[in-house]
Amino acid sequence: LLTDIKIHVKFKLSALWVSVMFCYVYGDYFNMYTPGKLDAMAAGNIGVGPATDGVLLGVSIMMAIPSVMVFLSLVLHPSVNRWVNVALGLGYSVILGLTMLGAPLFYIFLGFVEIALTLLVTWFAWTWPMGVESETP
Amino acid sequence: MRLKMEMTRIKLAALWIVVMFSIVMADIIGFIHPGTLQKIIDGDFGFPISSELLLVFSVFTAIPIVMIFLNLILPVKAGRWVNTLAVILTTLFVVGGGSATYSYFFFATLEIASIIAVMWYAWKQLGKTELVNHQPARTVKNVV
Repeated sequence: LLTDIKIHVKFKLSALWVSVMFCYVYGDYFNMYTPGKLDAMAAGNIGVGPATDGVLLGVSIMMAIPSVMVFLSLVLHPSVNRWVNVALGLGYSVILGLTMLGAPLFYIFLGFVEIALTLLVTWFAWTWPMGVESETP
Repeated sequence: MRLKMEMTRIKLAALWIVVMFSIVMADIIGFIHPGTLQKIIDGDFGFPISSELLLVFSVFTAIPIVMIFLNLILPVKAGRWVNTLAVILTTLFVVGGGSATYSYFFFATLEIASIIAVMWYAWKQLGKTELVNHQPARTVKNVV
């Protein structure tokens, strides 16, 4: 008999955050190919104003949260895990929606993929069945 | 049905994924930092950027990359020591490859925190299995 393991919600959430991160990485990377973008970057302009140390720290924190969720989705207690994922899924959908305003076409595409993924995070977290099975693995 | 599960392996793999994304984002945001691009164009780092140097960087970068997979397959004892070696080398890379910006300090802190967690899981948890409720998604008869 071949049996297929049923994938626990935790793993789905963790994998969704991995996918979200790759969208961010490639959104940023392809963005450098946009004509004029590198000149603006070299001049210290990142679209939201001057790229000061403080602004870049803010951007770094925003990028680090989905990355840490790859791990936290696996270890947080289900009762906390669920709400953190519901909130961050919604929060990041809104943030990405805002950064898509006036963005190049490729970025809007990656943005839609990213929003689909973060809405799935919220959906899976919201519908996470709470009970004995939710505690394992 | 109850099954044994090595959840620690997956947690370790996830921690190395966090380390990798921190490294990638630190590099991208490093590019965005005013002046970095001009330095690259001018080769103005105070030392030559040779292909040998880039090879060294690539080797150091490949370490956390392969740890994502190796944690799923290595025997427990080997896993402990390979994780320890990878942690030492990655710490050297993170500290040695740094730039004095808030953003780099932030990512470096996150990377170090993640690999401290790696050490804890590798030495305190790896090898322990937990029983889980196994619900097969589907069962297929092997017809071979």
